[in-house]
Amino acid sequence: MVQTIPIRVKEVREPRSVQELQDLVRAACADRRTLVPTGQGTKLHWGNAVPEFDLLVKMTAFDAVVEYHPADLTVTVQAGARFSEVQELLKENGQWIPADPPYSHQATVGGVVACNSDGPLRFGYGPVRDSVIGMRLVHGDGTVSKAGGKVVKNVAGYDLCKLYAGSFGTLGILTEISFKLRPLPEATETVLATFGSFPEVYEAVSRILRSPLLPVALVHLSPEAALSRGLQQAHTLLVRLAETAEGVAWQREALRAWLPGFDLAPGDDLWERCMERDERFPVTLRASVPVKELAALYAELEQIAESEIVSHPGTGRIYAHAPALPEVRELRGAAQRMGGSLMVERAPEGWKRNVDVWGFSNAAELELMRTLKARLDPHHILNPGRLF
Amino acid sequence: MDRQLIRQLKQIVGERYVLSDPAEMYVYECDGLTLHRKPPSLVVLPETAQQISEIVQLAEGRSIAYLARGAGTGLSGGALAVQGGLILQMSRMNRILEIDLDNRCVTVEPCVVNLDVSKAVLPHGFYFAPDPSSQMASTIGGNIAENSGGPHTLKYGTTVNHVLGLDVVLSGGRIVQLGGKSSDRLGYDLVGLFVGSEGTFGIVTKAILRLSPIPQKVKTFLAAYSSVREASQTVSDIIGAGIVPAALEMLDRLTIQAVEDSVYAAGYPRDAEAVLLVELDGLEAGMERLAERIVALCRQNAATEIRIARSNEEREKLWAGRKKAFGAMGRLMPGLYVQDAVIPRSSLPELMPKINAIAAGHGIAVANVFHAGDGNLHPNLLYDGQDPEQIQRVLQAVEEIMKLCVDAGGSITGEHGVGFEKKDFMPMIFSPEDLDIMGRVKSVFNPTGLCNPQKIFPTSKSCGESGIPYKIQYKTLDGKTEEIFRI
Repeated sequence: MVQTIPIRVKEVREPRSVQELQDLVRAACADRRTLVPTGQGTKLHWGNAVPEFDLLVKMTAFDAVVEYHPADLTVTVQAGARFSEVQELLKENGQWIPADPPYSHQATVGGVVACNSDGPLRFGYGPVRDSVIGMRLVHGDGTVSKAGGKVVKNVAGYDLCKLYAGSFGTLGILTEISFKLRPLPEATETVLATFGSFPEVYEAVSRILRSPLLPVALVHLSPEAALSRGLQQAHTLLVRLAETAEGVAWQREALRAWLPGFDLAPGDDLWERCMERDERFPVTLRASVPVKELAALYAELEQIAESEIVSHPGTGRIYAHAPALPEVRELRGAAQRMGGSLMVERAPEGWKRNVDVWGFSNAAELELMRTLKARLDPHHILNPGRLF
Repeated sequence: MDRQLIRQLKQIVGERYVLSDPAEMYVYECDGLTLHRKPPSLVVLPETAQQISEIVQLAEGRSIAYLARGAGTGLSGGALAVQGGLILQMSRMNRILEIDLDNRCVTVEPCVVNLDVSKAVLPHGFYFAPDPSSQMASTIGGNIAENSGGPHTLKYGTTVNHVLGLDVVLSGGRIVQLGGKSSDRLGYDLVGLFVGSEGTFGIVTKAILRLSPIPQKVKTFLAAYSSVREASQTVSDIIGAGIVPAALEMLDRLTIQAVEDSVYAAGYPRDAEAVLLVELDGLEAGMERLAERIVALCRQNAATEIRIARSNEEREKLWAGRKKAFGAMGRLMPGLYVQDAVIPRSSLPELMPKINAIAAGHGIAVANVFHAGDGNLHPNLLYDGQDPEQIQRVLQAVEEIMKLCVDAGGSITGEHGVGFEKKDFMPMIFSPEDLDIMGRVKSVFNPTGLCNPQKIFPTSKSCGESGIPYKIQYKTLDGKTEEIFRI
């Protein structure tokens, strides 16, 4: 639960229509007041520390399902609808948006898309971005525009959905999003295996990745992370299977033969627990490297970070908790040398003031991003400073 | 074109690699869309990103339009040199630079042929998923420009879902690296934005592509019908049953006849009004049951024949007919206008007869071969290019079909791109504000507008029908005023 707003704002506004939102943005634009768009506020702690914003724009009134066409496998919902409630609706027709973002019970569709927020299922289904087929939004100068459309395949004009997904509300405020859907898998199951060290985990993952198996997610828990989730204190690999019933059974048996300490995960709630962010630690880092570098990065992290580490070895991502600032810089340097990145996903504000939360390392990319922002939010009133 | 420019270009790429003979220019006067033709003034064949950077600087210094061209298989006039100018023919940049199996990716130059990527990694158990029908000829650079699809888009997505990183040359000769092998990117997804920009943002000089594991089992079958409506209904029923086939394609009678009369004869039943090609892929376990379910759905919709490919050869034959259908249609008429509209897939049974009726109303024969599973239509309008009156009727039919699809909630293009061909259809689906935002985004990458001009955006009516770029002022982050050109 998000009890308090982790950023400072002067006023909170809750527009009830696109017209109200547009008026609000135009007025703010005229007075150069800054805006923070938000849904349920689950990810307001992400991004750089900014001393104060003028307006928090809560999009929770935009919670309608605009169109749902089960036969076309498409749905259009307003940005403030809760992600989990949309999934519940889709489930009635055996469909879903194939994604498992954190804070999924609270988070809104707009927030999930604006942050391109995802979980381990990204390995099997791609980022949330890939499910988005259309959007409507209000830009920083009050222009209302749409991107994409409502059909599953569409290359008319630039695919600006790709630009807006993950833009953290810095280019426009999302009001409506269209998704392409998938049928829910017939069967799902999570199996687990235990190992003596991370390199052994990585070996097992490499073998799976070169096999005909089609797991949809891979999660590794360090011994301490496994323990705190009620499992045996050992390096643990969770493999999520989602297929036909026969397909799941066949993969389970293949893994049983390959993996040491093979076991069936005790129910789906373990999987849920692995998805949620661990908020006992004040600082959460997200490091991402090409998959091949995982073991090397993990070795660096083991030296420095707190002991509970969760990684998604299929996509090359590691979540860890850092004790102090110099370590962050050191780890970031290591990740960057490996062709990756390291961002501080969560940290106390005082901490954030002394560190670049994102750690952009490609100056040319950053310059293009800044120019894009200047063109779509010419007065820099949308979330200024959160991203850059 | 002045001698000094030719001399300077030769200094950059070497004597042999600048073409300026007017006769040679006719090779480059169009791409796969032959309705529109315009020879460039010069063709230059660069070998490195650095050379491209220098060429771009030279062209921009003289306000000469330029564009990159691969195999010229595009179907929307994307590689058409509308203003003459310079074509950068990328043929020399055709190397596979690295195969990195641990990271499941390859790094290639832009003129590597799509199918050659898969051929290079097949022995290792991988392939490159996007499979446009042109894949034996079309290049990765072109696939990236158009965000190419193909029959297997239904399950595996389009090119954008398979590109991890790009090296590009932008306006001013800037060489920029976007993305990389790590699947997480910080900030805006510039790779995702660049893919599908139809060569109007800049020139790709290198691409990191994601590889997919070869499916354990593939099952391909053909179902024949005595009506398009029954075939269309089967498509809706398969999707409705929660099955995502790897591909779900339809060919109609005229297409079947053309294929069967050609060297690509695939053994499609000649008396059928429609044929569906269905492919399942993935794990062997459970596939048989899904296949039986699909066969039952075909029967339920009165399929007259169902045939399952029993060997790889049989499978390839079934696919060859589909992928070569465009070529086979050359037998029917000299001119072929391939339409690319998309409709919500559930409206297939209702709209297919209407499309055929529109064409018939204009006295134009239409052969349909398309990606039924995702509602991406390809009505092929057949005409004689020597007859201007027929061309007018084709264009009229195209516009009416487009309108029908848009009114049904669809789009004007599913995979071929807007290019030069469909730019004046853009206002059918995008408001002036939507187009304004796209224009602002374009201006970030291509502020001079000289990189592949007069594509995507409708012919300007706001500035006296002139089509002349106009200027807009913006404030940059550090408070400076900047002028950009809009086209």
